[in-house]
Amino acid sequence: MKKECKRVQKQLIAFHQNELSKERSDEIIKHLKSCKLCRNMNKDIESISKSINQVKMPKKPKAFWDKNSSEIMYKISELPETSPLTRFLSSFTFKANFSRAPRFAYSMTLVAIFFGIFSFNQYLQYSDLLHNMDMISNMDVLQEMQMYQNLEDINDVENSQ
Amino acid sequence: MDKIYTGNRIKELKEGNKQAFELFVTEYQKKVYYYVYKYFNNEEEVKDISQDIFIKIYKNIKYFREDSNLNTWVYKIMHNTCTDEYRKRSKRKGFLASFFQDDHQIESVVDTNPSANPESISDQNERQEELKNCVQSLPPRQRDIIIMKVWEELKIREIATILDCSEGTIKANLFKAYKNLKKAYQPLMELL
Repeated sequence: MKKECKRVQKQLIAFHQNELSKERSDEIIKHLKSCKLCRNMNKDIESISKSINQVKMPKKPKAFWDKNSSEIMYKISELPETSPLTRFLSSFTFKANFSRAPRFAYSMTLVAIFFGIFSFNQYLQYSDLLHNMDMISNMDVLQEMQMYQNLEDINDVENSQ
Repeated sequence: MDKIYTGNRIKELKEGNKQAFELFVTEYQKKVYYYVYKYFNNEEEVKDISQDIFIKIYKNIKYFREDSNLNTWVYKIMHNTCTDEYRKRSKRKGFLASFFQDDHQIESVVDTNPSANPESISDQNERQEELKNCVQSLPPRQRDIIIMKVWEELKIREIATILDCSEGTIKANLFKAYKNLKKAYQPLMELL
């Protein structure tokens, strides 16, 4: 199959629905005149679309629609009132705009927040450890100072004697 | 239909105005009902699912950001609800067996073709049933796109927004769907 045929066949549906630019539509019309393979494909698409469009839906009387809409409104009136807290919390759920794509982004944000909290906690523990080590080293210095002081005191006592 | 729903009318819906919502239900119920019908091909399921869709719309209209038109947003809810329901039902044992059962009436084609004789009407009905089954036996993504494109006549751009994918993906899937339909429906097409 030629490269152009592949390109044309992929655009045939958009061509049928008038979703292509005028230039591209003209190119496709020109191609269809010269290519039997694409012309057949075009015929098949036309035929299938026509057949699908001919499929009849079950007709319903007006009473059915009236009953249906009143049932919907009844179900809505039976819905429990949402508290401001529920409304606030539900604003954080994935319902907004019924978009499924941002779920990955939401999940990654949650993972980032979790790691942030974890790292901060680790940092606090580490700084506690450093502080304690400082304390211990200070205590050593103090102990040494105390020891020197004691020695000096002993020396003083000896000298005075 | 969605052209009516701009500015103030959307604002009324978002504020939870029940009268405005009742009007919305009246205007959209056929669209929602027949969309679900095309998806499930089973009248027993359709009513409950279509009513659930309206309840979801009522509960979530306040989150509608107006970055697309209301029609596209409604389609998105319809599509997601039908996909979820389909998954749930597919899991149930024996669902698929009943899924293809002929338990509904199709509008007679006498209105469109008064000269048709009863045999040809029956043939046409059978072929229509067969075609519906062909559409439903397509892979889920291809089936969704065929329903939206051919039956609902949505633009490729709108379908891409509803399904959260690129226009190229929609075109490729549409092409594959037609190829699969041609394979499955070829013997019937010869009779048409």
